[in-house]
Amino acid sequence: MLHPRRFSWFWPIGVLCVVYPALRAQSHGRQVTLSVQGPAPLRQLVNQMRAQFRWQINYEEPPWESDRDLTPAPGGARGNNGQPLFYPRGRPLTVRVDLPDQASDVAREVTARRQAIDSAFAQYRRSDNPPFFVVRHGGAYTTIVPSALVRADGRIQEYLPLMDTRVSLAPAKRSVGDTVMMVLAEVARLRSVNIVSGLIPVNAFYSSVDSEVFSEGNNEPARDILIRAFEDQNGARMRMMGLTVAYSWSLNYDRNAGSFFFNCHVHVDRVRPVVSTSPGQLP
Amino acid sequence: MTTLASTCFGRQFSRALLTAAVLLGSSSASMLFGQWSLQANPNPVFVADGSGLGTTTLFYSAPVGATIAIYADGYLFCAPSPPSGGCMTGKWVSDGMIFELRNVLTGAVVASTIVQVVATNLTCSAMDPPFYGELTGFQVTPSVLQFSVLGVTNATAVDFLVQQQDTPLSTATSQAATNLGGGRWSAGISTLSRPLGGYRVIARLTAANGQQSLCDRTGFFTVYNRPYIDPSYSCGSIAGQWKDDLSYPVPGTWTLTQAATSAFVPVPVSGTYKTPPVTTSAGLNCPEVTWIASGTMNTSSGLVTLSATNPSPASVPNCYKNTLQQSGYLRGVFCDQASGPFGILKDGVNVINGTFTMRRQGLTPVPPGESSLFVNWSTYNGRTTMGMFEGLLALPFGAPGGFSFAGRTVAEQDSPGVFDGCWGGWSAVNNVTELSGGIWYVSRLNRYGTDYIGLMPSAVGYYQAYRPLNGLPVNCTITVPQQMFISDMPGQSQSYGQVNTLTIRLSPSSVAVSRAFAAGEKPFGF
Repeated sequence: MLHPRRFSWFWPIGVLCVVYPALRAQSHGRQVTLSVQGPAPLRQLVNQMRAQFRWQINYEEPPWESDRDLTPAPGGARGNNGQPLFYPRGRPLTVRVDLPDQASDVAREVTARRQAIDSAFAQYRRSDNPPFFVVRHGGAYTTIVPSALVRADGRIQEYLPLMDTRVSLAPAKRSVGDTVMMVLAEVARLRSVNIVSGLIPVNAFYSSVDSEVFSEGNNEPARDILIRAFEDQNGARMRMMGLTVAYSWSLNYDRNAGSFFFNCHVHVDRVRPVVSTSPGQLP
Repeated sequence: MTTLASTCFGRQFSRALLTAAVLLGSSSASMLFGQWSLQANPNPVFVADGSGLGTTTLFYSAPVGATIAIYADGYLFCAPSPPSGGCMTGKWVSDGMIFELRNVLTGAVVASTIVQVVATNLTCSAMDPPFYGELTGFQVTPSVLQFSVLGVTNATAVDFLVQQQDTPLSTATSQAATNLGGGRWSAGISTLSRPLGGYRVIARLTAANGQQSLCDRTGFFTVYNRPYIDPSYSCGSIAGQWKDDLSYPVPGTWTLTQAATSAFVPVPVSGTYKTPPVTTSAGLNCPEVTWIASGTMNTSSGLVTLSATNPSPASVPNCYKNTLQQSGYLRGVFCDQASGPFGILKDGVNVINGTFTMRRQGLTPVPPGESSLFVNWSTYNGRTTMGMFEGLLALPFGAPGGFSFAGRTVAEQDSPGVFDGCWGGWSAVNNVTELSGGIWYVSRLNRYGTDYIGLMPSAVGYYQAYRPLNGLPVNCTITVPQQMFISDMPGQSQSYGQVNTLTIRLSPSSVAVSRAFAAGEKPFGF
């Protein structure tokens, strides 16, 4: 324990940092209000929607460079590299999300969920936060990726999202975790960036009875290889125990560490009976 | 400030005594206090940044059962557990600071040491990169990592110490660096022959007069490797009610009990085999018949062998034979189906042969609860900050009333109440919001796993490095509730037992994990 007299300057910063990232959710019937404060508001908003609504939203950041996108840490703290700490800039954000009805019609539910995400993202775009992101929908997944990179000198430059990098992977039976790590390592090599493990669902990735899948990649986007491996495991788990396993990830960039952090979330649920889906209805 | 006037090992006394000890070439007073000891390493601490403040680690030993605390210049800074371990300071140790190991119950200082902080004119300003991308071991990433220390002045040589987690700095390997000019020294660090896990890279500067200093700005990397393949398990219990698909003259029902034994060799099985009353296609009215069932269940292979003999009533002509024998393997993740060859004997002569399938009737038994076992820390894939746990289903197979759940699957599912006290809005490591989605076979000993609990080394290192930089103590806790489910029918599962609480605790120098009442703790941090 540090003595407060000698280290008193820690405390105001400490209190600030506990309150700083505060995030509130208020429910109004089928409409939910999410409030975000602190760095990287879109990252926090996605985390909140993922945790509260169990939506499969992937979120990928650019390698923040510009002072317009970054803000110094409170108190002028410095990192181990001797440089001032910077975090992604964030203005307070309040977003209203219309929740789709459950268990009525799968296609309608998916469409409503996509509309809810699009609406939340549009509210984010109006909030004077880093603007260069784009939303893509595909199957059960929504992916939010950078649409451009603001360089350190302020220039806006075209940017290929990291997981759009085309990679190849020899066909083999391997764990989901090894598949992910091999794909990320290849992306890191091809794009000359560091990718570090953040939050990893180790049980689902490595130690579960259904962790082994057949995975391969043939010069295709890294994201597609991951999703295919995840869905193979999902199918196996449904057959085995009537459970679904729903993955989504965040690729957060920490400028202070000079690395992307790959965070993967997994939600396990019971299979929900499909009510009135007919062929051709699925989006 | 704490006063120690009532004890002969008071502050002024110990300072004089310890100063003498230092002058005699020892930084420890352990020899003065028997089995209690306290040592600082490094000591002296060389600092090159002009602050006059350094970091060190206090290594202690104390009798088991003692309640101890370590004080820095009279201020409590660490309350560790006996018998031995280490507490790492922050960058606040000044020259001549006295560290004391105290017996909390008596207040007595039982060991002390003085730390010297020596300022050098050697300076450095940064390590590049502070974090390195991990290695998967598939050789798709570089086998040599390039690290550089920046802003170096007054050094005639620089080497990089590569310190493996859980090991003291004195065992770190050294890699000479090359002067690239402009204060930048660089070295390539080979990763190929290194064990899995986390590493810290520390630049050591050497002056012309031989004086050395460690750079405060350090780097970090992790080596990951090896895929993990779980063994599969055989089903372990035939106990319950089963219906076969024979038609001689009609499918029958087996009601079986299995001896409670943990032996892997065939376990005795007993019970009844019953066929309901039926009118045959030839118009013959056959009554309900009950046989005595006996056999064995091999809990190692899943092979079940059953016989039905001594029918009652004893004989009804043209209705049934007098002995049924069948054997097959109990299979599937639900252990709800067995199939294999069967034979029907009349007066000892085999008259009909074929194959049978029998299926479990009704819900399969569910364990009343479970306990947890901490097995070890992970060594797979460099996940060395993850605790390996097993679940032990109640009642243990072999105990009175015990049942074998071998071969069935259990899964973890989220419950409300997840709390992540390590995360902050500044963190690139996401906050924990759910379990990690495990599903496992139950083994022959009614155990399942491995249930990995913890954060990856890179995430632990990140929090240990960046929480203090954001004005937060490293000490933090994550708790996640875990409800277990067991498979019973295809596509179905039932919850069982109480909700387990999973806990991850980080400190500057350690990682601790727990699952229900099982726990593990290890040094981690540099």
